[in-house]
Amino acid sequence: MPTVLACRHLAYAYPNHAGPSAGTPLLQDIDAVFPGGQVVLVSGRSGAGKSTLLHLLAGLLRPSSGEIVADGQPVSRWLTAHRDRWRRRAGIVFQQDHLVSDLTVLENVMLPLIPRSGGPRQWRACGLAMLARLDAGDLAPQPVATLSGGQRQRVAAARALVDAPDYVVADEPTAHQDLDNARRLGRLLRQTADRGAVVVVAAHDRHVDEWLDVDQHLILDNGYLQPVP
Amino acid sequence: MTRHPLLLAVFTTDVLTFLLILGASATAFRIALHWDQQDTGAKQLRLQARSETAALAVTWAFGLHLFATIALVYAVTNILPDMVPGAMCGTGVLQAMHSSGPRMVIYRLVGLAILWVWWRMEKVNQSLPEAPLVPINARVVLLALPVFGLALHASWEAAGAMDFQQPVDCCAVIYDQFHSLQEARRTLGAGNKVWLKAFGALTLALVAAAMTAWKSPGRRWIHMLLATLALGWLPIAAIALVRVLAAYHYGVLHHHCPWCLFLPEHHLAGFLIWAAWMLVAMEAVTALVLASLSVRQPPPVWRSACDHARKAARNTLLATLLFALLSTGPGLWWRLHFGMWLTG
Repeated sequence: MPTVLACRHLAYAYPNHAGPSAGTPLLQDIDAVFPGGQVVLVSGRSGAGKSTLLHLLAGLLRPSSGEIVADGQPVSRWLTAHRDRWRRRAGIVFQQDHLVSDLTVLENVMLPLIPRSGGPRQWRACGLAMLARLDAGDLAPQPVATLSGGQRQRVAAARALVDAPDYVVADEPTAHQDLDNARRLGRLLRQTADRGAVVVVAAHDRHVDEWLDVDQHLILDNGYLQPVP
Repeated sequence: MTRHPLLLAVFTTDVLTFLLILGASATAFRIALHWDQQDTGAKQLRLQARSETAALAVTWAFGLHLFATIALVYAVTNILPDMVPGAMCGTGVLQAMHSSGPRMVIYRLVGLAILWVWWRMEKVNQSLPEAPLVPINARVVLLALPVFGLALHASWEAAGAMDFQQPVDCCAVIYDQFHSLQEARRTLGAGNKVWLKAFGALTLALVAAAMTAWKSPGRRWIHMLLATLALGWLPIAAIALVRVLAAYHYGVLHHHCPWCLFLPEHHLAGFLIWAAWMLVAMEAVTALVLASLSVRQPPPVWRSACDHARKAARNTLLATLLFALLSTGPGLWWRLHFGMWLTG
């Protein structure tokens, strides 16, 4: 069965949200399919709800209504423990990198491999290989506290992709990258999709087509997700 | 009313347990009214999130209640006898509590049994991503609520009823039930040997049924047989222990006291023996509930329920063997050591 992620009548409103937009859902009645083998770009103005949509797709948030279906399974309605286990199959690049500051770059990248079989030697080899693909091999022994914003973002991308996940959600993954590094990451995301994974990238970068080969482009506007012709 | 720290801890735990159950019951009530597994509307999704919180609250309540019950039994058997004049074990303490004492014990044990069954069903529920047993478990929580309310009330009454100035006569309760030696050797019209033989026969039958249920999952009739045998075994095992076998723990005949087994001079054996007895009751009922549940459910639930029913049957087997070993062990040792039974 090919990997596929889908939203059915998905809506999200911040719980206990107060303010002028109180009661208005951030996302409304979203029906979308993210098939394996495709790179899907979600764009929209700042604050449109792109990050929220990606968090919902990755199982980090519960929808207010509707559901997220992964390979036919309503994962958003699963018990937390089962959803957490399912999330091991997802690689997430957060807008804020969320690296563990007390660990080195390589240790951060090795983290998703720990629940898997194999041992430290194998995890180390995988981590180093992934860092090298993002031109960050030389950063491996450094503490993450010493890295620049762009370097941190590449390490976060390496951590998300090191485990060959079935679902990749990347939130503004090249916000602090130069074009060369952005292209390198774009190629890696393409290769990830080519082996059958679902890849969803959120970006509001107008030059995204310079570094990312996109199969499907969706735009998020006023809470609704629509295809860009 | 005493302000012993352990009793205050027990009472505080009881209040907390009741509040947890009460909070979970509010969610359980909504689940009973509105739950629709297939609905993806906002109301149902909120209920799903709340059901997880409620399950966590009941799990905590179960743990707290278990702790409080063990602590209370310890207090009743090992602390309060020193404070109640004339009391030598839990019998005297319960006497000082008047009718509230036995009621408190009964409500607590019924509450424990209900939450035990809930806990085992929740394990089946948690093993499946879509939590299909939420509505059934919610009803069990609603069933537990009045029992825990009564248990809390009875505990409060029992604590208030205790009179530390009025002496009790522990032994009068034990020995004054008999007018003759002949009477001491009979229970409910049957001789102690009859009870002992019935205990032996039922223990063998229960072990065989538990073994079969453990090894042959998915057969509801064997779980039904196991539960029936267990329900028959429980009073007979209790009578055989208190009337015949406890004598070998005490080293004296006709001291028909279930509470003295909890005393340090008898190696606190009562805690293990009565825990095994309770476990037989709870696990046999669990095995039956899970086996019955599996019949009307789709295959994933059926498989998980069967697996847990099997484990419940295995636990029944182990608890029965533990009870038999601990209750008959001292008697057998006595026979081997002295070459004769206490009765000659």
